[in-house]
Amino acid sequence: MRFANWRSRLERRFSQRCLQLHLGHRTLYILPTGFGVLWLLAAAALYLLGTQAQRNTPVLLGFLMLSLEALALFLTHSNLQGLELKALDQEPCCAGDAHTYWLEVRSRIWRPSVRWRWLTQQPPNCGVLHIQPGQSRIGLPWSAQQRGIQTAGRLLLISSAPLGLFRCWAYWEPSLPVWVAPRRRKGPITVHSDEPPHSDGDVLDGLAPWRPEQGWRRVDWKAKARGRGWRTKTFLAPPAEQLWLAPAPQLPLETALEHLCDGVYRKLKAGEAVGLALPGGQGLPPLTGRDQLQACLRALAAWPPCP
Amino acid sequence: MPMNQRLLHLALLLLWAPLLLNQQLQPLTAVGIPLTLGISIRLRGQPPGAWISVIATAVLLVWAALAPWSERSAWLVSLANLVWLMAGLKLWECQRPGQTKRAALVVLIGIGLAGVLSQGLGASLLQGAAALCCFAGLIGVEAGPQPLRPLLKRSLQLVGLALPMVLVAFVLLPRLPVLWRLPGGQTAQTGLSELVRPGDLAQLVQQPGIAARMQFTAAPPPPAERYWRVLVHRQFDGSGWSPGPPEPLPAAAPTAAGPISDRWLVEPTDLPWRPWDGSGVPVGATPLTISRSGGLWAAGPALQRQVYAIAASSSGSRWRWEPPTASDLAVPPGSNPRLEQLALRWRASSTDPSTLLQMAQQWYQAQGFRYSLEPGALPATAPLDAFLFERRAGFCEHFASSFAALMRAAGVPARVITGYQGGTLTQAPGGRPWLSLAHSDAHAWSEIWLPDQGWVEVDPTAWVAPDRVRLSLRASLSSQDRARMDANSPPPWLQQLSDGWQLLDSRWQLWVMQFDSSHQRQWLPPWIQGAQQGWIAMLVAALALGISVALAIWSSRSPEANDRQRQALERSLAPLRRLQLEPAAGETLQEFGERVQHAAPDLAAPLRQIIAAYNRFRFTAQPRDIPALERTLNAGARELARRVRRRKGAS
Repeated sequence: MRFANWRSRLERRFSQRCLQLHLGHRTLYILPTGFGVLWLLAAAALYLLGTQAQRNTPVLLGFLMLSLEALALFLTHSNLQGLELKALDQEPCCAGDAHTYWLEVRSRIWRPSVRWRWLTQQPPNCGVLHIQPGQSRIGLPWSAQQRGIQTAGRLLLISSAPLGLFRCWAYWEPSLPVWVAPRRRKGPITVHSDEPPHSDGDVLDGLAPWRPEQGWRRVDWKAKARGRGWRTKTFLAPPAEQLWLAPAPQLPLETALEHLCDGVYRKLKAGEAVGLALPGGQGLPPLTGRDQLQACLRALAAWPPCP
Repeated sequence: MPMNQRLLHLALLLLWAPLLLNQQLQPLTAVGIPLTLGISIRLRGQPPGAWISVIATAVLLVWAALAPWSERSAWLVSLANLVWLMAGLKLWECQRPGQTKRAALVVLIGIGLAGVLSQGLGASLLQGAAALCCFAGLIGVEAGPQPLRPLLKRSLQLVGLALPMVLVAFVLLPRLPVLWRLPGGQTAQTGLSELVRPGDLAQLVQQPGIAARMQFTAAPPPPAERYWRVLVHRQFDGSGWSPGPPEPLPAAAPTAAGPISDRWLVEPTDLPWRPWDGSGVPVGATPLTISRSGGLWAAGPALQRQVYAIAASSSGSRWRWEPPTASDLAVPPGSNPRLEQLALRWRASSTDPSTLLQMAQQWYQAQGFRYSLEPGALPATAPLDAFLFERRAGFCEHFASSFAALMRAAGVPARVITGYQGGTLTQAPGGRPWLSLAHSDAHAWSEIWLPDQGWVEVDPTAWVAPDRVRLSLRASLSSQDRARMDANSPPPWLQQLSDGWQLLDSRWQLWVMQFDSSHQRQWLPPWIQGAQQGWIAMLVAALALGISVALAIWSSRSPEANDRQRQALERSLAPLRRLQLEPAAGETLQEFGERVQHAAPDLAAPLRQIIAAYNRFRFTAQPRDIPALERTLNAGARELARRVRRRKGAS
């Protein structure tokens, strides 16, 4: 436990908390790996073997391994040196859902096998990137366990290519906040519906070519009598019912918010017009669409902060 | 099986194959792994775990410990086999990347050990290929699943970048002194032997293989003068000849050695004697001594290829004037009665050694002797009598042996010399000629003591088969004997390839494998040598490292970084990034233009101009004018930026 605390403190100490990060000498750290130390010992052993047996093959191989180790120090460092990372605007998400954290990455060279890991996540999310030269958009799997406006946490980038003799790493804590709505769970919510505006009948939208399978009921007989051919009348869809969703009052607040989040999500995905009626008079008017879903999730993420 | 593990298996295979051919791979290693693997898979359904490595290691350690400590070469071969076995077993049990990397390290150590035991050009190339595969396997562990070709390419790139530093360290870095000598462990090949009896050389010349190679610094002598002495046989038991204990030549006043006249590269041999032409002095790191009888004596057998040079010196032929001793006249009485009687008759007519020599020559030429590879076995009793008076057919050792015995019986000190005569000259393109001495060039001749000339070489074979000396062994044989030799010889086209390969091998041995601290002292300028040599080496190596790193980083840039047209296009599209509009991966410029038109119609017009200008300059057959393209694209970029600012302000 003590070691874990020390490690966490070191990570915090050397981590860069910012929106955009340029990896350079001040932000990169490099040390030989255990394999790198073994490699060095093996090179020394081969050199000794060659000089004592008076054979040049082990001597050459020892020199080659030593030279590769010296070269690997710089190559491993250059795998991360000069890499630019920038956090992009993130869409709101729900706690517990798998989310993609988007980054913009700029690189002048090809960078193979850059490993990444979110340090503050359990279970840990990690992976390997092969970064092409130029500008690219990279999505890292990420998830949050609690709702609220929060940062993504500490990201560790590691490279040990090409030979695994050195490990070069950098810490980055993107400062861009992510709106995390409550975890979606099915349950009771309070629903109010607004009456749709009164309509005397169907509202005519226009005319369209008639097809026999549409039947005779909507044929524009006047246009036919005037010699304009067979046409059918089209009508606007009747205005949908508008729903106001609120948390169930009898449940604990967080549980009620979770149910509310699930309800909002399902109904907006189904195309219904949904609005939020949160306690304290806050809320959002009923609308449909992706923008409304994001606005509702943001409202649920921000509304009173989780204790 | 992942590609990185396949590469390591390939490395091990490249390592094992030549070791198997050179009989350095012991059965436990060669058979143990497939047997263990087969049994394990049959019983457990999967490759063996770590326990099998522990057991195999323990078995080989015990086996190595039981090897007699005096036979250190066997100990080294056992140790090498242990490492090779461990490498194979570790590869089979690899499940995680860390295990694969450690297995690669063991394979590399195995390659180093193989280099101790085999240093030929072919073996070195295979060891280099195995090392490349190891590095490629390690790159594959880090880079993830990749096809074979990119991994090998990257491995070659890394080795190429590291080569300058390797060369600097190899040439400049001072070598550690030998603290404890490790044996080479290479098996000595058959060749000349200390005891020579009639018929021995006839068997030897039918064996394939090279005994030694030499490089002339001046014009090579004509074939009739190419005699290379190895053993001087002074003790005669009535049938065979042996050298006796070596007696070093008394030290003379030191004289400066002249320029190097020839360089020798001898194959492994059991003998402590080395070939030379009898004149000059040995120079170089290999300790060689000239004996009183004119042999070149080393401290022991050559367990590996050995290189030495002979420099011109007036003191190098002093052995020719060393007076004979009693053993140079000794003939076991009654061992060959008719030979002794003939010699006594000659002595009765003259005691002058030169006259006796002429009488012997006339006698040999008058008797109708026949030069043959298969003269038949001689009787154990009075063998030389049977040869001289009955069979009258023999090989070079028959003639040399009988002549030396005759001269001794006639009162003239004589001895038998075995070595090589002739050789095959190969002219390297742009280099000095090389002479290859094969086993088929083995020859025996005699030396007699003439008071006014010292020890003089006499070749009685030349009286009977002069073509043997003037041309070659093959030219002097009968058709039957020639066919017998050809049965063991490769076809001419293969022989030519073999000669060329041996030439390369010789150069590899001389300039790389035998490069040591003495060569450094010889080739490096004096101001580099000394206490500062190490620092200079590190400085130059650091410079080489800097160049390699710069090359590596430069080569990893994308091709587009060097493409000015592409750069200009990228700059002109930069204003659109403010609106999160940029070409997606795999999206053409045309599709991107349509997407922008849909998302921001007011930006479509300048973008269309940019795309049209780029395509016109990129794909037209007219000469490209990059500055004009850049001007057009910059103008389009300014218009785009203006419209984006206006759009941002409006929103």
